[in-house]
Order: sequence, then C-alpha cells, then structure tokens
Amino acid sequence: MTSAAGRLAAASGISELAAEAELARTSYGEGALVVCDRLVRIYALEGIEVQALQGLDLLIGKGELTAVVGASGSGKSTLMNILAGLDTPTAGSVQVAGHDLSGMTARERLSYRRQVVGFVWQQTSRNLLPYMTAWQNVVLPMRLRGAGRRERSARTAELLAVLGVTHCADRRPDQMSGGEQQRAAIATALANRPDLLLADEPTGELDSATAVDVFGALQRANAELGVTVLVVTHDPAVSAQVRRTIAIADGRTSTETLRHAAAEDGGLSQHAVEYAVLDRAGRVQLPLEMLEPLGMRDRVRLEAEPDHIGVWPDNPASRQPGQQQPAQQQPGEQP
Amino acid sequence: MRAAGRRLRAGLTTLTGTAAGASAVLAVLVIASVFVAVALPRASVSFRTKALRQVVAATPPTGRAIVASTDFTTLASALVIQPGPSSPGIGTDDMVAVADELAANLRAKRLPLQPVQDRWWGLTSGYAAVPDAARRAYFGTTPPQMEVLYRTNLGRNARLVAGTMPATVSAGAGRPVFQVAVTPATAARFMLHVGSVLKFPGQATLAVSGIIRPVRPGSTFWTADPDAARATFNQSRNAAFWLGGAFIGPAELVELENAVDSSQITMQWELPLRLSGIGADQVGALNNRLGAALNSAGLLTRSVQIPTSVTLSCGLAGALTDFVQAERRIAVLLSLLEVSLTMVGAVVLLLGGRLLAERRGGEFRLMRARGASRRQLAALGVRAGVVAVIPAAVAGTLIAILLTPSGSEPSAWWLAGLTAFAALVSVPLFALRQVPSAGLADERSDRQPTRQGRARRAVADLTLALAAAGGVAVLRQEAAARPSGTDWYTSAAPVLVAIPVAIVAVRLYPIAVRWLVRLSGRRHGVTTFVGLARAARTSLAAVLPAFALVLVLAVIAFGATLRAAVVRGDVAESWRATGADVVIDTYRSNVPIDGAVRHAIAAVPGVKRTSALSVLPGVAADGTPLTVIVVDPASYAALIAATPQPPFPAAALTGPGAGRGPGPMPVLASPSARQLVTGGRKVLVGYHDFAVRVTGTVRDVPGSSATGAFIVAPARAMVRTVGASEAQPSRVLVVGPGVDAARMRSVVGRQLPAATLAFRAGRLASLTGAPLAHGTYTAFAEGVAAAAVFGAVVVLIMLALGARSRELTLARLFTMGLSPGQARRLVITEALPAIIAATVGGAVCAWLLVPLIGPAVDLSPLTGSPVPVPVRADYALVGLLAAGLLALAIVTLFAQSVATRLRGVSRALRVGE
Repeated sequence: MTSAAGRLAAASGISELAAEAELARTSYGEGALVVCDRLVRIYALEGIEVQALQGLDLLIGKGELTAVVGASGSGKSTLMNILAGLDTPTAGSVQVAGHDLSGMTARERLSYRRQVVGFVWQQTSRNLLPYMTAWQNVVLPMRLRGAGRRERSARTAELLAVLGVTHCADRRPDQMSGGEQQRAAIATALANRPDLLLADEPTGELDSATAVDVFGALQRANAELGVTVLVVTHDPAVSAQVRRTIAIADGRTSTETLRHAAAEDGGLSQHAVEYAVLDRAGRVQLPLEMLEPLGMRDRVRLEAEPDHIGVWPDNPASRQPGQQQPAQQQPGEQP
Repeated sequence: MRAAGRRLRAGLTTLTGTAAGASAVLAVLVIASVFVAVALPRASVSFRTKALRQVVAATPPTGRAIVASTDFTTLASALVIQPGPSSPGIGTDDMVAVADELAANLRAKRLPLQPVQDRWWGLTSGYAAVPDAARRAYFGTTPPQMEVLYRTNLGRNARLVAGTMPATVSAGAGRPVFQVAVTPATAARFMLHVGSVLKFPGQATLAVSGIIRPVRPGSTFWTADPDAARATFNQSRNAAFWLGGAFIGPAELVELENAVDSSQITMQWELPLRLSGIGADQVGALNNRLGAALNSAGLLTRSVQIPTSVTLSCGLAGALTDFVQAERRIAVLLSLLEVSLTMVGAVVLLLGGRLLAERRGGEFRLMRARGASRRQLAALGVRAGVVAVIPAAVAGTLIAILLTPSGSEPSAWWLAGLTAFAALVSVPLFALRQVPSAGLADERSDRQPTRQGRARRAVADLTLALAAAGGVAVLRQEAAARPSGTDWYTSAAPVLVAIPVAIVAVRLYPIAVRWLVRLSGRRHGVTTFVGLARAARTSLAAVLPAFALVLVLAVIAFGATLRAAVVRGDVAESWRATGADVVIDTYRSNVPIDGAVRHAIAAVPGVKRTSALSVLPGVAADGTPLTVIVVDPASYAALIAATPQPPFPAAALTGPGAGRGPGPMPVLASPSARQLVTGGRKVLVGYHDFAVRVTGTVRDVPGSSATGAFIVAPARAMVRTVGASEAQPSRVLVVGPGVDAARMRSVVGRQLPAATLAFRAGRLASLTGAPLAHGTYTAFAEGVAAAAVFGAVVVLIMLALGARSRELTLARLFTMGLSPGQARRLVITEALPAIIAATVGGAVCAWLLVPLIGPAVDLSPLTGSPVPVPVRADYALVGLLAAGLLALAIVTLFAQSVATRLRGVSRALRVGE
C-alpha cells in the first residue's frame, strides 16, 4: 500500500514535471517571431569537431530591427544560416514565424524559404545573378514561387522605389555601384514579402558612406514594409543605429544592448544600456572587463538580496561568515 | 540591328549563366563526342562500301545480272504452243511478256534493276557442227560448231560493219535460208563474209547478211555467251573444236524455232541489277532479297497460260554471301570500338557537365536559397545543357556527315543520340548535386557515412561488376555460337572489362595512398608528405574523374591490340603466302635455275640469303599423287631462320641416305602424306622410284606453295636418285628486307626471261591496301587517337575541377614560405597518385582484354588467312599514351602552380574555395 502510494506520488511528481516542461517549452518566446531555444550546432571538419553554437537562446519580436555582433567564429553566420533554412541545428529548437526549422521536410523548407525568410549576404556576387538586371533579379524569387506577372511587376516596382534603385532596374550588377547592388539585393530578398529579413554583413564590403546608405535602406524596409530585420555586423556604425544589439560569444548570446531616445536639454539623445543575457538555465555571462579587476575566476559567491543578487569573488577576505558587506555594493564591485 | 544583337547576347548570357567558358568547353566536348559517334560508323560504312564495289567490280558483267533461263519445250507448254513446222512459235511478244513478269516479280522482291533498255532476252539454238565451214575453222579433222542466237537490242549493242542486219527468212532449196550477222572475229575464224552461206544441221541454211562489231564488248550482251562475240576454241578431254555464233533478226525468230531441233533451244532473259548506289549498309538486306528472289521470283503466272517456273541465277549471289559474312565479322569488331568509344565519350561529357555545374554552383545555390525547388533547378540545368549541347550536337553531326559523305549507318544516330543524352542529363544531374536534397547549404558534415551507405555502395559496385562480367561472358558465348551477331551491351565489352578494374582501383586507391603517406612521413622533406596527405584526404568524388582514365586506357588498349593484330596478321599471311621476301619461279616455263643465275640473284643489293628448291610431281606407292619438294636443308633452314616463320628441321634431313650414301632417303612428310610413305614405302618421281624414311612431319614448307600430300627431300640425295637435271631447282627464295626490287627484276628478266617474280612486299601491300583491312586498321588507329584525346580531356577536366582547392592550398603555403619548386612537387604528389592508379588500372585492362575478349575476335576477314592471328596486348602503345597523359597532367599542374603565383596569393586567399 505504502509502495503504491509512493508510486502514485512519484507518478504525480513526474507528470507535474512534464507539465512544467511543456509549459516552459510552449511559453518560452511566446509571441516572438524568432525563437531559438538552446540551439547547438556542431560541425565535424576533417575529423575535428567545432561547436559553432553552444546552447544559444534568442528571442526576436515581430517588426524589430536587431543587430547581431560578435567576434569572428562566434557563431553569427551559423545562426543566420539556420534561421535562413540553409542549415539545421544539431540540437535545440528554432522557430521562425511558427515554423519549426529543425523538423521541416524538404517541401516545407522550400516553402519556408519562399515565403518566410529573405536574406542578404556580404558578397554582392552571392546576392544577385550577374547576368540579370536588377529588375530580373527581384522578379526571380517571385517567379520561383509562381507569382503572377502583374503581382511581380507591381512588387518589383514598389521595392525598387522603396529602396531607391528604380534607376537601376535595367542594369546588371556590374553596371551598378556596390551600394546599389546591396540595395537591389535587399529588394530581391524582400520580393516574396518575407516575415524575416536576414542580412549577413550587408555593409562589409562597402565604404562608410555607402554603408550608411545601405543600412538606411534596411531601416526603410523595416519601417515602411514592416519586415523584421536581423543584421549581422561588425560595423559599430550600424550596430549603434539599431534599438537592440545582441552580442554573441562562444556560440551563446552574451549581452544585449538596448538603445532608446530620451528628451534631454530640449533635444533627443540616444541612451544605450548593456544587459547581460540570462539564459533559460539561469546562466549569465559576466563580461571579462568586469571580472578581471575583481580577480573573479573559477567560482563566485552569490547572495540573494531583496532587489538584486550579489556576486562576490571567491577569496579569503570575502569569506567571513556573517560579515556585513556594504549594502550598496553592486555585483562586480570591489568589497 | 545592334539592339537585336545586344538582345541575343543578353539572352545567351542568361542561358549560359555565370559559366560561359564551361558551357563552351561542354559544347566543344559534345561536338567532338558526337563527331566520333557519327563519323566512325559512317566511315566504316564508307570503306565497307568501297570493298563491296571491289567485289562487284571483280564479278563479270553477266554475274551482276539476274539470268532467267528455261528450255523451249517448257515455255511452249506453258504457253500452250505445239512445236512443229506450222506452229505459231514463241514470238517476241511472248518473250516480252515473260520479261515483264520476271521484272515485276523481282521488283516485288525489292531488287534494284537497271532500266528496260539495259535488259535483253533471247534464244539460243544449241550447238551443231557445220561441216561446210572453211578449213580454217576446223581443228584437225574436227569441224567447228555453231549456234544461232536471237537477242533483243542487237542494233543497240552492235554496229554494222558491212552488209545489212539480218531481217528475213527466205525459202531455199527445201529449207529456209536465215539471214545472220556475225562479228569480225567469228567471220575471220570461219572465213565468212557478207553473202557466205552455211548449212546448219536440221532444216536451216545460214546466209551472212552483215558483219557486226560489238559496241560494248564488256557488257552482259556480249559476255553472257563468249561465243557470241568471237569464235572460241573448246578443248575437252575427248575432243577439241572451234565454236562460233551467228545472230538472226526478230522476224526470223518463229521460223528458227520451227527449223531447228526445238529440244535444244534454250530461252534466256538477262536483267542486270542496278548496283551502283548500293552501300555496305544495304548489302545484307540485298543479299537476303536476292536469295529469296532466286528461289521464288521465277514463277510465271500472268505471261503464260499454265503457270511454270524459269530458273533464276545470279553470279554475284555467292560473292555477296561471302562478303556479307566477312563484313559482319568486321562489323562486330568495329561495333566493339564504336560503342566503347561512345561510352567513353559519354563519360567525358558527364565530366564536362559536372565542370559546368560546379562552375555554376554558386548560381544554383543562390537560386535554391531564393526558393528554387529541385525541379526548377533541374529545369535550369536542362536549359543550360540544351544551350550548350543541342547546337553542338548538330554541329558535330554535320561535320561528321561532311567528312564522311557516303554511308548512312543507323547505329551512328543511336550512338550520337546516346552521346547527346549523356551531355543533356549531366548538367541537371550535377546541378542537383550542388544543392543537397534537403535544401541545406551544405551536406551535414557532422554526419559520418553510415553502415547502410557503405553497404549500398558495395551493392552498387558488385552489381556493376557483375553486369560487366555478364556482358563479356555473353560476347564470348555469342562469338562461339553466332559470330555474325552482336548487340550494344556486348559491344561495350572493352569498357565492361574496365568497369570492375576501375571499381577495384577506386577501392584500393585510398589504402595505397594512406600507405604512401606513412612511408613519406619517415623521410625528410615535407612537400611529398603534405601532397600525399592531401591526396589521402581528398574526397572520392574529387578523384573519381581520374578513374574514367581506366575506361579510356581500356579502349586505347583494345584498339591498339587489334590494330597490332591486324598488322601482325597481314605480315604473317604475307610470309605464309610467299615464304620469302622474293620468290623467283620457273616452274611453268620449265627453265632450270643454274648456279650462275643463283649467284647473280644473290648479288642483287639487299639480298641477305637465298635458297633454291624444286617442286616435283611424284606418286606414292599406292598411286596417290604426291608433291616432292627438294631443298638444300642447310641453306633453306638458314633462310627460314632469317624470317619470322617457324624454324625448319634441317637436322631431320641428314643421316644415312641423305647424301651420296645408300639407304632410304630421309624425308619430312605432311600429315596427309605421312601415311602414304611410312614404313619404307617407295615414291616415284619421273622414271625413278626410291624408298623413303619419314623423319619428321611438317605442315607447311614456306615458299613451296605445296598443300595436301607432300614430302620434303634433301637435294643431294635427290640428285643422286633422280639425276641432276630432274632435280634442278625451279624456284629461288630470297630473304632481305631491303632487296632492290628494280635490280632484281632486271637481273631475273635478263637471266630468266620466262620466270615469274613474287615480292612479299607486294603481297603485303595488297593485303594492307584491301579496303576492308585498310579501313578497319584505319578505324582502329583513329579510335585509339580519339580515345587518347578523350583521355587528355579527362585529365584536364579532373585538374580543372580541383584547381580552386589546389590554388587555395598553394596560396596558404606560399604565405608560410613555400618555394615555387616545392609548390610544383606538392601539386604533383597531390594530383598524380590518382592518375597513376588509373594508369595501372588501364595496364591491367590491357592485360585482361586479351584473354577475355581475344577469343571473341575473328580477324580472318582482315588478313585473308584461315590461320588464326594471335591477339597480343600492345603494351608499348598503351604505355606511350599513358605516359603522354601523365606528362600532360604534370605540365598542367606546373602551369596552375605558376598561374597561382602570378595571380597573387592575396587574391586566392580572398576568393577562397
């Protein structure tokens, strides 16, 4: 009897845990356009394993213009390829506009690429077919989808106008400047009215003035066409102009910087606040520039306070039980 | 105009995409492959047609016509005509009706006939002695015989020289007098002139009204019956006499039928075949139709009252049957070459398609990323293929037709179609390989080959190997059972032999390279190790093109082997036919060759050795005729030893009885003579008989022309036995590769005016110059050349496919201080192992082809010899061409290495892979 009760209790515990897990799974990122949940991608290159993504979590809401920054090899491009449907994660889940990218069939993947996502690469040669005019390049994704002639014409004209390259309609890529090529590439990526526009270093091969111009085109697309834009960039000028910048380090999102405009001295000024990202397992990546001055390494001591959590270095001076630490001390400050 | 040109250029650019160069390469490959596929079969038809024309030309004109014949009585019965003095007879209308029905019957059998004016028909009375002919026409006391002929179209085939054409029958003294015309030659023999009269046995008198001269003496009109044109001398065992013929006119026909013995009259219709446009591709069908027509088209139903049959014959039928059999054997040989070359061409085109698809890979991946389905990409690939392939295939076909104007061979279209198809499917096939099925950017590199995948590959390899082995087995069985037939599957036998070899080479290659890597790791120097390490890490897909060289080298080996066998066969046959470089024969003139003459012959520049022999008619003890060949054993053996023929057992003709001493004469006997002379039996030569002792067996005595029952006897013993004059040499054999032919002719002409001279070089030239042999030799030589070109293309494509990766490697290593020399060594050690492995595979194929395909190959139609020609691999040519391919690879790799350095390292590093 006792054992049966125990089993019942255990069963009840398991079902509760399952229900919690299900709730966590369904509730995480609810309402977001892009939901990356503990995303892992491991490559085996000539027998050597490379962990490009190591449990990355990311939420991007509809209509956002977000920049992703990170060092080379941090996993930015891998993330973009997965979001573009060009790669699949080794583990974890990723959803874009309700599409689960890890479990799609070839047909669903094709439909996803046609209707949900568009993207722009760094090299213009990878964005546009060199023997087609800008107009033909923009028309191409619609033709592949099977759109009608009238729709194709109207959409192409609209996109070229919004992106300011109407004059390039009859020009082939080699007859356009780098900026014009990238704007035509953005128009091409937007041809099938995608929910998400991915841009991988779209200004990487451009001079600063042209880069501003191209980024302006992305902003216009975001503002006027309502498309969610995710830009991978190394360009601080670009990342400084978006409301949200996500930094990726070692295959995980490490920090987020949110910018907002505030009225100040009769004018508007930009304020940026950098946040550490707290992942779903409760992990936080503390920036090195904060850790090193405090000699924090290997382990730290946490103290829960009513309105914050204190993080203390693991050294003898800070290990005196009951010793009152300065109440105002913020995480990372010297005791 | 300019706008239109721009639009066209833009359209073409859109179709060729980002790889106009690769499209052009594919187009050139298609032109070359289609040209080979079309031109080789058409060229073979061309030379086979030439051979057919020779066969036709060698047939007498009358042999090129269908001759229908029957006797008067049979035809009269069918026409319900009673023979007799008052019979209406068989008139020209009846003959015309029969001719028309025969022509219609033959046409119904789809036999091509010459126009009506070239046909003729007639009647022959049969020969009868004419005792009142001039004495000049008598042979001794035997009077000449004459026949009376009626032929249609006499006026067109003869020109009146004197008098008038025969026209009427007049009443003579109790017997009708027929006007006749004779040729000048007949008139001369019979001493006839216009107005001469001859009594013809029966109830006829022949009065010469005119002398006619043949217009076309070589036509069937004059050659069907040789006595029509001139008097001929007939000599048989029992009698000898002159024969002649005289022509009557059409109005005299019925009278003649009634005047002579009707049972001797034969009726004849000559319907010449129209053979000028017949090609070798049609000769098989023509021969079948001819055979069928000769059996059945002689049945007359419409032109007679009672159905009857006339006998049909055609002198060409036998020659055509022989030709068709020889031609089919050659067609089997050629189809082996043509189908194999087409398959190699198809493989090259697949590689060309892969090159094009890889060059457009970025474009295909971009389209895939923009939402193109696999079907849309395949359609794009097909379109890209069509642009490059269709115009090129048409161009290749047109060039082939222009260069081989005669001969249409249906297999050429099939082979061209197969080639174009391979080119068309190659681009979409490899375009889809650029974008994996799941639509991902690249293959999941974190996925290792599964056990299932390995098993699938093993099953595919095994299936291919079994299919290839099956094809070779079927070819061998068909060759044994039905040497005249083959099909496409078995015709690919050289390639089928190469497929299992290529599979084994592909399987062993990584193991061998890994072993080499370990070996090179122990040595000093890094470039070899790095190069081999890169070769070991290269994916199978990257090195697979190299193994197409196994197929190429197999086809080269096949062509080279058969080409060499044809040459060897011709040379062997020339030796077999003549026995020496020069044979001087006085047998017919019966003039002995004495020592002074032999000395003069030996002094001709270029003569290395001479030997004299005589060929004497003899009789065995049981009365069987026997040829006795008398040789000087030592000089004859020495002469034979200087030729590629089997050595002569001179030692067997020595010992007791061989010289002046007593005892049975030692002789060598042919297998059929051995039983006639064994056991010390005697042989009779002239008036001398002597006992012989068989000391060995020989099947052939070069230079003697003896066949059947013969013995070879030593000269000294024969001189002792039958006397010097009887055993005087009648033939001198000369060996010397550079004999001065003109001088030899001069010497022989001076010393032995009646002698005949036979040069082995002449015989060899006639063998190699024969259309079938020459054409086949040329086809194999061209096939080897084409395969070598395909091999060069395979090497270049393989190196082009890996060029980008190699460039990046070199660029990275240049930044680390790699010297140009090290760079060259590195690329060679990386790229050459696969090519060397393929070359080894090709050598294995050359070795395997002889035992596997050799028994299925019949070269006798080419050499004209019943003696089988041994088929041996021509390793020298295969090795030479393989070395050429390796040299090409090395030069190309050097060029790529230099180009990388000249273009600059940073560019290569920036562009990346």
